[in-house]
Amino acid sequence: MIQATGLTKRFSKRTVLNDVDFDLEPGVVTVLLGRNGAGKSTFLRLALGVLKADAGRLLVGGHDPVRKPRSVREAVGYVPDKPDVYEWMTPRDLYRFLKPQYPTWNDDKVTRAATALGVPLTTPFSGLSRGEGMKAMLIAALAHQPPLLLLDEPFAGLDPVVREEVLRGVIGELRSGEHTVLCATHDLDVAARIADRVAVLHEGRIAVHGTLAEVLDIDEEAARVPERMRVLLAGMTA
Amino acid sequence: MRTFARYYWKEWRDHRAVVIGYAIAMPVLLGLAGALLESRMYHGQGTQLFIVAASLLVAVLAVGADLVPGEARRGRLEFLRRLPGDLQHAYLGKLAFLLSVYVLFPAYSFGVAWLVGRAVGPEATPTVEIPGWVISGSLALVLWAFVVSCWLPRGALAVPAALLVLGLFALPVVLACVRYPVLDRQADWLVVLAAAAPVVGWWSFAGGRRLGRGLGASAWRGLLALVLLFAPAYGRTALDLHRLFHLDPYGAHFAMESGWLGEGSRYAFVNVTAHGAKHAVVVDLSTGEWRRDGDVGDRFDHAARRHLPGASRVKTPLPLVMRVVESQHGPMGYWCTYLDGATAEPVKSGWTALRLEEIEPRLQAMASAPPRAEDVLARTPNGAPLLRVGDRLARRDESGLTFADGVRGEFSVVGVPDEETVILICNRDRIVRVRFGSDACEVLFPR
Repeated sequence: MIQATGLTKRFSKRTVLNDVDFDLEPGVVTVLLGRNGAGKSTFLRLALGVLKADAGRLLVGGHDPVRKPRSVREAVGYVPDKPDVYEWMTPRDLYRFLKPQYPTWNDDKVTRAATALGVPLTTPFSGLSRGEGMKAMLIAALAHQPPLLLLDEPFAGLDPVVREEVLRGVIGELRSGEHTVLCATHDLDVAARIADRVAVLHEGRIAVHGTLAEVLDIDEEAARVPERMRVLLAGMTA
Repeated sequence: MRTFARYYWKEWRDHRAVVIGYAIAMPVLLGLAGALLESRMYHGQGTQLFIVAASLLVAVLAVGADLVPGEARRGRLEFLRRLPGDLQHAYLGKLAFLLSVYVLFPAYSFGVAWLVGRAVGPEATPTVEIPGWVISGSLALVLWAFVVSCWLPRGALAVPAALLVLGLFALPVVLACVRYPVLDRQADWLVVLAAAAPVVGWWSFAGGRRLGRGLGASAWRGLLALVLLFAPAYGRTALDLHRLFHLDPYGAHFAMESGWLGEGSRYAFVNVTAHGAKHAVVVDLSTGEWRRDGDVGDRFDHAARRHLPGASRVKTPLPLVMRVVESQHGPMGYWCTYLDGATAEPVKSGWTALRLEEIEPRLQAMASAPPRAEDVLARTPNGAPLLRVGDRLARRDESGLTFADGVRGEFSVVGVPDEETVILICNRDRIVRVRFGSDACEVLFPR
């Protein structure tokens, strides 16, 4: 779904991604782990075509996101780390605004998801809680039924109760197999709950990439996953 | 179309406070103006124009200049960037909204002013005639303020920055046009500028701010576009200037309008038009050499019109000064001494010029035969009239008409050097010497 070869991105003199090779397997949830500033968001933004790589090749769904941004974005649902839409917009406004841009937009899905997640459709984003805002953004990302979902720390900044509520609301959709999901996070508990595969960005490269079992050398003992992830990341930092 | 409509709607929602505020404030302000001003003053064209101008200023400052910087300030560019339409759809929505405001604000203000005017007094609100250049100029300013605002962090700077940038780019051409007004065909630039602004804005904003690029990329593209936009104007101005200073007597645009024959018949003083500019040219008829005299736009003025009894010389607005004295060679002409205009002192080798057809009507009447159907162009030294018969030149004497061979078409006589010879501007593109009764028709200039 995403194929990166020798992908390099610099900001001024700082190299954030350095010769990254990465192949995102379709139909599974891959968690992109890494410390703050490791380049997780940069990678997602490159995949979305809002940044241009300095070197390397990146294909999303077979398209170059810089040359064919429309094709890529119509096939991608993106959720930022916080709602970054207009404060005056209500979720309903947002969906009306987005709908003409996505040929596969599904109003029924929006209605069902909003009801299921308890998103108030007529309250402006300025009046929504952080959790409600993120749920509204998740619905916006899912409404056009994209084959690929890019989640950029969508659960960051949510208190544990709200995070749990959001997670419960969307985990079924994420793990349904309908979407290929790449979720950047440094929340190991979230990662442990949604990940089929894990990729770790370290010093601008994909240091580790594989199934949970391969990467963490464990079986399906979910309770142990976060701890093993912590050990893995701590080992890299050391 | 639906996408575009949603973007337009988004702009409306983003700026509706300004628009509604304006819609409410205008009747209040105009009502106050109507109450405080005398009826005559309120109905004055100046007041009405001020209302329209103020509306445009509000449109550009409160809406146009903030469309892009406001988006960036509120951190919404990233949201727009990641949509399928990228920034292009957003740009179209902004441009359409700006144009709506550009039209609707003044129209609304004028409508309210008209309604208030009916309440204020009996005088009819005048018809405000807005020159075309004001419309294209204001549209260019509004659009360019919008374009330049894409390069700036704050929209408030957009109008002065747009004026500065456009002023700097236009300065070479403006200076050339001021110095040589004949070049001032470039007023249509405002239309070109206004028409080009949306494209430059698109390239500057939708292209420049794409892929996470910042203000620098946007400004760089915009300035490059301005260079490209002004390049034809620079080129055209340079070409016009080159034409102004490099006369080509063989060129299709070179036309002689009138001329004088100098004393001794060696020099002709010719007023020339080339590419719309006027020039004074001195031609040495013996060699065909020529030079432009004075500056662009200068003319050899009509001697007869310059004649002031008792005055030894007359200052003209041109650097050419002619001293006019009555001719010693008969009633038909005036001797003109061509002076150095810069110093207004006689040139030592002073030119003398004789203009035959520019004589006072009284003197012409004295010297001419009774009115005839033919057009008397000039007279030979012994008084024989030179006539235009059909499209031919003829001389009338006791034996009848003698036609000049080889001369047909439109022409005017420059002067008559001797009894048998006529030097004339023929067909406005050459000076020829004609001898009556023979086939001799010699081109003296250009050669």
